[in-house]
Amino acid sequence: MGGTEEYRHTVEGVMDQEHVFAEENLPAFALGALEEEESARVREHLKSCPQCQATYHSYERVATALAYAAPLYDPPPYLRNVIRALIVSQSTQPSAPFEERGKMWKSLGQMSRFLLVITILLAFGLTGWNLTLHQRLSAMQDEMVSAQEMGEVLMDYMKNPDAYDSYIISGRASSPSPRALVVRDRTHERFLLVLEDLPTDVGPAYFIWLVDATGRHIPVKKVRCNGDGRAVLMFESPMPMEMIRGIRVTPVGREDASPILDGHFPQDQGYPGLLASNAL
Amino acid sequence: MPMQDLSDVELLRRVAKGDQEALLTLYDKYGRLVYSLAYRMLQDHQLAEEVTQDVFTRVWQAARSFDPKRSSFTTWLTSITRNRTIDILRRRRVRGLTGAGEAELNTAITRADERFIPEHHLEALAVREALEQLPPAQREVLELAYFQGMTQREIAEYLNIPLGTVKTRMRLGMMKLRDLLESKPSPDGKKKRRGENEASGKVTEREGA
Ligand SMILES: [Zn+2]
Repeated sequence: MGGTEEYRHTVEGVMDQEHVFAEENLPAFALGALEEEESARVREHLKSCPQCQATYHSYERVATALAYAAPLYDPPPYLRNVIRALIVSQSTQPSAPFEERGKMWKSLGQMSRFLLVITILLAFGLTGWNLTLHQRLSAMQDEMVSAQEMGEVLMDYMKNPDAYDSYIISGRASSPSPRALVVRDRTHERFLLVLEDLPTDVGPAYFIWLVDATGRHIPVKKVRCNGDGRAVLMFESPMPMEMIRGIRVTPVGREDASPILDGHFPQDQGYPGLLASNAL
Repeated sequence: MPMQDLSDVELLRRVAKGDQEALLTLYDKYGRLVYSLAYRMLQDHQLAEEVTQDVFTRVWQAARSFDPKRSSFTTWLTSITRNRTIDILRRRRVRGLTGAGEAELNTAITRADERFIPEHHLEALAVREALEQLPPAQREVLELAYFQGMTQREIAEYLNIPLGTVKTRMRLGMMKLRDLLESKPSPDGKKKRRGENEASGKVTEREGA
């Protein structure tokens, strides 16, 4: 940085030095390629220098244009449904900042959260599953977001029990044998799914499909299970709920293989607590 | 007015009010860009899918904090995508892995037919054409920074060349790219404007400076 020597001891000199530094580094700054302390220095200078701000924006546009240099690929078609389901499940507080979501939830305290989860499990008659309460609790600890969603469903369930149906689908008689609790929320046209004992040897990811009246399989969501073969998810129904006749779960990458879970809702719909047929 | 004819800023304003259709319209418009950028950076379709999910839920949650006076929507969107992806790349580098092998969980992926996506196509053509005109050494440092999320220092180590050389190449590459793209309209239709008092001729390559 030549030519700044004589100004070193004056305020203008420091300003000038910072300006020269920023100007030199703005292209790299726009690419996010500076080290943290260099970035901080540029960022600080940008606050007070309109000239550098204008230059920065011109490089920012170049950086944005670079995104278009990536070869274009189509995302898989089900991704749109997944995103729709995710935003629907967050719709109680749209656009709230990350930190604010679930504030009320946090204030209930850790224990209450677990209590709610246990209650929801009790409410849905899941305690007969061969997991100890302790195991179940530690499994839940990794799933706070899902636990929160489940809590929301529970609260709604308590207010409005007639709007929900719950079913259990069990898989083949091998060990461990996968199970699914399916809760249909007819008011919000959404499903809550608790999957347990999914085989972890076929890979951690599973597709959830809905089966419509014509027997068509509609992919709705991809989930990963944890190391214990457990996954909890919620999704919005992509079509009017009465058109959905069943749910199936297949390992990702092996969609053609037989599903590990495949259940059909009983035809006299709307009656809670029925055991779904087991196709396997 | 049909949803897809609304401007990005208007769509985002609706997203901030909780309009799910507006978010899905933005996804229809830019989902492919986000997914392709994430895939270009991660070389893994499954992770690219997860990033795309995260990015659009982030847009849903943070739409209110977007300030159209500070940047365009595409700038905001691509920087969310890059930040999220760079996190994954850094973690991967810490674990000592280079370039992700395509997971065997990979699902059927269709290469987008670029003839049917005129706006992206134009932008893509312009930037690829411009990149072609850069000296390969300059293009290389830009690509390592942008698509691999490497800092100048990391690039110097990776290419085993002096840091000063990386800095010079990056600066010159960005200036040249800006000059080349300036005459073309930006993705959101705004005309690009050159920062004042800038003489791109005054910097010459000083190897190892
Ligand atoms: Zn300045």
